[in-house]
Amino acid sequence: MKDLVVWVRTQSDRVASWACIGLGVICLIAGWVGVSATAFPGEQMPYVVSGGLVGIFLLGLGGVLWLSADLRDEWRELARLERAVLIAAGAEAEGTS
Amino acid sequence: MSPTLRSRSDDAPVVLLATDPLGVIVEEPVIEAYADEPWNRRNVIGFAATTALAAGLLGASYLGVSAEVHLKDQVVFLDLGIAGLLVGTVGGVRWLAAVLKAVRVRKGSAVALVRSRFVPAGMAGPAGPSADGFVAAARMTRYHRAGCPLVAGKDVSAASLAEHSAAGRRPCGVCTP
Repeated sequence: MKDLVVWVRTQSDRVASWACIGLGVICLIAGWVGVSATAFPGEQMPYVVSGGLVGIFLLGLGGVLWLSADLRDEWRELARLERAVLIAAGAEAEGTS
Repeated sequence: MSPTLRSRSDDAPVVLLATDPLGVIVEEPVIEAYADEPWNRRNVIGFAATTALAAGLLGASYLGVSAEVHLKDQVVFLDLGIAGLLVGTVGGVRWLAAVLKAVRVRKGSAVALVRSRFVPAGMAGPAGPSADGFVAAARMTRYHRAGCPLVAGKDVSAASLAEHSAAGRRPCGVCTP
């Protein structure tokens, strides 16, 4: 349980991303169900907006957050690489002096 | 004279670079000065603001559409929702572009750091293959010079440039074979 909390805390953008994607899919399905239930365009339009547009928006937001999390991972990996290089360079300099 | 620090905040994340006394940015960055994340406060505020604006426009669109009965009266609110979607798209693209740029800058700086610490001066730069040809391991996506620090201690085998190219490998960014 503690590990899960730590994971959620460190991967908060991935959690938010999945939440957005899940909500987006639910919105799209709910919108489709709502539109299917009536033949009157004036009654369908609120479902188009709340289900269709909001669903697409949430899916896009989820995708952006996911890509952003990937780039942040790359950023942290570069930080680790730089630290390792500096440590290795320091050890090499000590060895030659 | 020890290098001084100068803040370069014109791009997305604030990155501190070492500068010489004349204020010219030198090749090697001050590693410790990087932020923990590839974005800065301005990026976060911009992304949050555009996302909130998009959500607001979509909410207003839904309320407006729900309040009207006739399709022709609903169209203007539908347009509002589409505008919200566009605002959200622009905000997301700007956010990703800023973060991607920051990561690219840092990647270039990391390559410069590795070059400055490990690659002998005679090895860097475009030149022909070493006596042993270029080396790579079976699962590597890049080929290297035999003396490249990135293959030190690894089980690699030498092959010609044509063989590496046929295997889909690209030249290493550190030893630049």
